[in-house]
Amino acid sequence: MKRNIPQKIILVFFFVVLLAPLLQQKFHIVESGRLFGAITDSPDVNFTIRGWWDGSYQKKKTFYLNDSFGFRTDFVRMNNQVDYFLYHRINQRSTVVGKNGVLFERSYIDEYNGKDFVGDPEIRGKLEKLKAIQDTLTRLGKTFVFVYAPSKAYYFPDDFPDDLPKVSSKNTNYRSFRRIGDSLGINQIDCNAWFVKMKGKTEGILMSKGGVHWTFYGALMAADSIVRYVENARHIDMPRFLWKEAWLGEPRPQEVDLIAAANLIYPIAKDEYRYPILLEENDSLKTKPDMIFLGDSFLWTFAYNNVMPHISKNWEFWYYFRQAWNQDVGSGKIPTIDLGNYDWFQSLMQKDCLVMLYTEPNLPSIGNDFIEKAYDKFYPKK
Amino acid sequence: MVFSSIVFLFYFMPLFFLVYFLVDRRLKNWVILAGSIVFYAWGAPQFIFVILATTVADFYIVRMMDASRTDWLRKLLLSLSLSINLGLLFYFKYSNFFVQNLNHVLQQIGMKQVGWTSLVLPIGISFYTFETLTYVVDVYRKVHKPLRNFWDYQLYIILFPKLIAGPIIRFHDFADQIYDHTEHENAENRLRGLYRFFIGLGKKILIANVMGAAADTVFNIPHQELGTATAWWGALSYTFQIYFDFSGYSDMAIGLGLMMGFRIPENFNNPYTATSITDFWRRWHITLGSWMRNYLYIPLGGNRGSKWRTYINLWIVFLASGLWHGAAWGYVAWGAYHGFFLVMERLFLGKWLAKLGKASFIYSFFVVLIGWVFFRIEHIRPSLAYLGRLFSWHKSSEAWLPTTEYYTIFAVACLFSFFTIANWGQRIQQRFFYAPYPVRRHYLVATLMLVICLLSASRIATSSFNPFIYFRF
Repeated sequence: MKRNIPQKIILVFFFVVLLAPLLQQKFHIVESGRLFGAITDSPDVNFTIRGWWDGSYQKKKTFYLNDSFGFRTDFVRMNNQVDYFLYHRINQRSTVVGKNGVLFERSYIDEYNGKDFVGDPEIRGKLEKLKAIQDTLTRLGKTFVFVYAPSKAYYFPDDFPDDLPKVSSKNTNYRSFRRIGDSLGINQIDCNAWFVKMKGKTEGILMSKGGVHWTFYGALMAADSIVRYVENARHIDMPRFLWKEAWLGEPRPQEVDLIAAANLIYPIAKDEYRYPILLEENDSLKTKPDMIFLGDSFLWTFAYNNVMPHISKNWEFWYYFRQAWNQDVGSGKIPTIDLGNYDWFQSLMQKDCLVMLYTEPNLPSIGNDFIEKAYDKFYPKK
Repeated sequence: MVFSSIVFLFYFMPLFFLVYFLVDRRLKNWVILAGSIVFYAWGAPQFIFVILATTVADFYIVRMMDASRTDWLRKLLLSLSLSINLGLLFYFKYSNFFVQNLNHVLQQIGMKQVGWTSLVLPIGISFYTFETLTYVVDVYRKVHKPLRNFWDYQLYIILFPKLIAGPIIRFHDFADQIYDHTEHENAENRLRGLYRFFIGLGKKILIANVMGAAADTVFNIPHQELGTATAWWGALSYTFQIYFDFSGYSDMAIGLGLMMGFRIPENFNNPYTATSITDFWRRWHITLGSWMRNYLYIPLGGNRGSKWRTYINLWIVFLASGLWHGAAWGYVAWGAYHGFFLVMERLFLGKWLAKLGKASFIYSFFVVLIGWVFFRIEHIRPSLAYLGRLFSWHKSSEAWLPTTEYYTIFAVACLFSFFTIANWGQRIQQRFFYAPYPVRRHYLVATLMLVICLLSASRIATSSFNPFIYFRF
């Protein structure tokens, strides 16, 4: 009976390993962490003869089991950790690892290198319409400003990965937008250029190594520029961002979203961040114009950190001109607004300011149809 | 259901073996049968009934044939069984190809084309058809008595480790194992079988899939845009993909079989170290080569006739082998290409290669690599265009660039493909696969296998690229 005891022990061990995911799925024996990022798990499916016969049951069940087997999150993290350790690769769509621990979204490097350049004629066509919209809004007593969000590729150009070398391209969407926008007289705030100029000179970090977007500190600097612009344009005194002191601490989740979405066992080292503590200001004497913020995900830093209600009374955030948030949505009174079923034009007519904010890789799709639709409203075809 | 899937690895396999190990010896074959039916019915529900129906017909035809004392009746029943099995194979596998070519000819001569709805190929039909043929022929030749009852025969055909992609087990090699496999089922064999399974899993997931992803990208680049260096990377990637994919599957099949006490024959023996194409075919898909030799080459006359008759027989066998792999002219060309080199080696090339010794593996590897282009592309004209890019010195585009991971896995693939050229490599292989293990080595290998298992599972958990090449055949 004592024969082959070590072999039996090893065999039992392996079967415990192989059975563990099933047991974990059924009984949740230990707490297994969760994965970060946009993840859609497949739902379970009930067995039917018909589903089995045409194969749809097996297909859906396979998807379900792939997404829900026990310790899946640990296996995913293990795989990601091995890839990062061996190949310096992040298994998150389009994220690349640069030098000095800087993570990039590939599209930012491509934009910097001019790979997605759409050409001056197309850019001019869009900006001419935008200028016409700006002129109309001005005539109606409204303020329009276009803000270039900072691009990490311009901020960390020397940290590109070796297999995506820096190219000195004059033909980039950003450069053409700036040049043509200037020549047409479009109101512009270039946070990209300002961030590059101020790199290393500010009290806090403007852009994080491990995130896609600006830091909270960087976002406040940009918001401050927007406030100053609107104040000058409308001759009003708006609430400012006052902070008492700055302290060092762990970054906020939005500031290191690429690190989180990398889903590693041992996350890449994060910077220490200097956080301003916003002071409550008696703003009864200040003017809060009604504002619309239209743009991409950079605006989420404003939304998450109460920048919008701080400077605007009746504000709306039009995310990619697809969905809208306002104070009521934020407080949970009403669901997110679908801009396809919303009288956005009426809302635009009721507001004082329109701030459009896009980052460089999103410039080719600037406005997300807003420019074309607003232009058609202001200048209907005869 | 594929072996390298979460469903198999973490659900089917542990549950199946848990039941299998726990039940009484008399019930084990029933557990295997039930498990095999579930396994096949998961992936091909409609075709499980095709297998069941043909095996019923085969079993009773063969039983009648064995009981018959008249020669003509035996031949008639043999022909009937062969017709059923080959008929099904031709119907499912070659009718699309036949009708396509017929329509092409009809179009050329201005006639109306034949209407046809394309058929879906039942998974593994080429493998189990060849096994049913060995049953009929072996009993006809009186090499072995037919099996006692239908379910034993069903077990031989549908045994899940080898059902879908082989190895092809000849009936007379396997018949007795149906009754005595449990005698070989002990902790040592179960563990060695599990190790073998994990080796196969690692070959498939950690090597073949990386090479496969590169090969797919390169072969999908329009040929006119393909640079020469990229084309070579693509061909090399596919060469390693197909080896590690198919031999990985065979390892898993052999391992799973061994865990049940079955001795499934080896299917590969370091084929890329072969010193000639003749030698290559003794090392690559060994069970197919053995089947072709015993059930086609020898009945055709083998090498008993004239020299030229032998060459013709060789060509016929390799054309058949090409067609067995797939119903496309690319496979036929691939078979003819290998047949050509086999004949050349018999004529004069073999003598030259013998003088080169082990170094002639470079020749074999090169010939095989070029052949895989026909196999991968499946059609002759685009294959020739690809070959044109291999030898035309075009500047490479950036459509595909090797990554650090690719270089690493490529180096690993080279190591495991060629290390047995050296004597020390052969010694390692002998110790690892065939020598008895002392307990200390068990601990060492088990640790290594655990790492491979976890790495492979973690890769499967995140990867969507997981096809097995030989499922198509």
